[in-house]
Amino acid sequence: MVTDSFREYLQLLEDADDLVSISELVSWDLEASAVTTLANRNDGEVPIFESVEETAIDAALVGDPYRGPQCRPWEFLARSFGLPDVRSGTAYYEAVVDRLRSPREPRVVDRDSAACKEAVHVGAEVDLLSIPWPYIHQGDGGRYSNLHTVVAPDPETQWGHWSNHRMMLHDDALASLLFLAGEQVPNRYYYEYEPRDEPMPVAVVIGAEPAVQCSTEMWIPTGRSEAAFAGGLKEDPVDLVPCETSDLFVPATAELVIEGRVLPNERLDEGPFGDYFGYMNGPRRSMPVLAVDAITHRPEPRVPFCVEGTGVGYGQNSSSTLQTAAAGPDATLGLQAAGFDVSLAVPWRFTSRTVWVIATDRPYPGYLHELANFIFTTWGMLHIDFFVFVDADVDPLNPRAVLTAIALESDPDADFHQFGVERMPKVPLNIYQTPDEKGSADVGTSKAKTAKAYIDATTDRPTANGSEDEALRARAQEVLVDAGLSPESFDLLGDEGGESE
Amino acid sequence: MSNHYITAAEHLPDEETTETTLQITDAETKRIFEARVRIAREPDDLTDPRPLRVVTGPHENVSEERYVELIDEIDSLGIDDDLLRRLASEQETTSNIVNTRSDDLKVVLRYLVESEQYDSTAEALRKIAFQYLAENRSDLLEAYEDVRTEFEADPLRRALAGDE
Repeated sequence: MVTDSFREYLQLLEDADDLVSISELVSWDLEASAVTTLANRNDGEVPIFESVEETAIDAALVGDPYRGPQCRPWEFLARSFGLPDVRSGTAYYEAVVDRLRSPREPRVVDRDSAACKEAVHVGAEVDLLSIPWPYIHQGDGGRYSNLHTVVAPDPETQWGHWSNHRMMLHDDALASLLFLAGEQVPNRYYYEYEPRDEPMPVAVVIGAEPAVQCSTEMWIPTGRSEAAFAGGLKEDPVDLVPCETSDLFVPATAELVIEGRVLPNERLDEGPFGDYFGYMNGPRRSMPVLAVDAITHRPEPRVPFCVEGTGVGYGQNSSSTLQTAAAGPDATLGLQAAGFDVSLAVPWRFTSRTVWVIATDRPYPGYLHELANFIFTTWGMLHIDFFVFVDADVDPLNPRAVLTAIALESDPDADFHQFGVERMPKVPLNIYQTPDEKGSADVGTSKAKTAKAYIDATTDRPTANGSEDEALRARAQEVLVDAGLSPESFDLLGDEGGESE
Repeated sequence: MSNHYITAAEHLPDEETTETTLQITDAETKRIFEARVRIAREPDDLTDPRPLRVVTGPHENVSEERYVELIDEIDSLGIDDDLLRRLASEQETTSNIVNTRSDDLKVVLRYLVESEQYDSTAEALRKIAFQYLAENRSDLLEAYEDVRTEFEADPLRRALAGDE
């Protein structure tokens, strides 16, 4: 079964006893996130808070719904894509990469048949604070929505560009968005809309179906549409519906849609916020303002949120799982499509986004440098600090195998490489730069740059030639026959085995 | 709404107890808004003091307690609706002539009239000013439009305002 909505996905979890419904009154103010934190740390069921204090509309909060089990983070998403028999990470990556090779254009449906339009509030009826947005960490600058899809205009595709930017709620009609220059949608705002003194229409989609949330986490090539890759992921077109107040399209089965404009030359405070590094990150910065024009939603909408910071170490949360289960397969496909002999590209699961492990062949000298150069110059490099390259037969999803490769194969003198010294952008959420080094650049990114790096943990030994391999196999077959196995199924036994050709 | 507020040290005015515009957060609801306020270290320096937590430091995890007196809440985008209403109300009983003195402006405006781009200097000034405001302060015009609509739709309020 493939799930076509967030609600179906929650039902899938419930049917497998992977979801726990909490009917007791819970506060949006730290309590919902505290319960979710414990579930994330302890590999517990996904909590849905059915009764939230002071909620004007009858909404439920869902704590980290995309978090997968610590041993197999991709498991719930595999089920939702109709891949229940995929057990190993490698098999999951292969299946998802295969799906992504065949994007499917979305389908536009009527407003009347779109679940997200069952309640429509426009203009003076809009009340952003009628939704029980969680206050997630002590010290956050405000209440946040941080597990959603921001739909923004894209001149190259009518379906718009999908990405995720955390949103801090201010009052009944205003919010601030973390727009870091260097990312695609913020760049469109800072360098196209704002210089023209023109508001940029956006829609914030909350509780979208799993395929949409996954494609939001992917780096889709310019000119292609996340909507089509979401369709490929579930082997069925995603249903889209027009917005009420703009020309944008949004996923029709979403729980909640906030339509609005990012105003030119207006700024409001954003942050501090305890983001994915696992630390409170401040101070507040002036960020672009979202003025809300409309809110549409299902009855009793389910509002998902992510307790950022709990996806480091052994814990998993939605964003760390989406990195492993969506961004990883997408990057693997991207590198293969660019002609590199990459078998898997996987974010390091304990510090997602900052380190990636890439299993690859090394067909010629200088190949790894070329690969690193390609990635550093074409990917969104705000978040990633360095790569670890391992041999194609090392499983990047296996931390022990990766550390073994680093320990045994990386020469500290020759295999640790710095790239673009002090010239590469870095997200200001990092904790190794001081506030002075980060600066307060007008467009929201780090003023001080940093370097990128990669570790070559591939083997430097010459590949064993065929005769060595064959001798080893022949010896293994002799041992197995000596141990009592029938020689009939072996092909390299000598005269004493009696079966060699 | 609670009686306890939060703001950042960087937002505070240099002088205590002076009236200033400040972005503050309601500690209970986490609603964030702008208001005309006065700040003081001692509650006795204010008429209606309420606790204000002032956060500072790279991650805003250092704080000190002060006191705040809320004078007026301001629209989040900086338009003071109450001020607009007062001015609109006063305008009902005062002259609508706008005066300014400038030889240069008068020459330029007369040029626009005598080259037949406008019928009069008054019309030229009206149209150019409104065009500028529409392009650069559309928020102010929209807020004023709302106030005017409110006034026109409420003759009783106008009558009462006129009695005051």
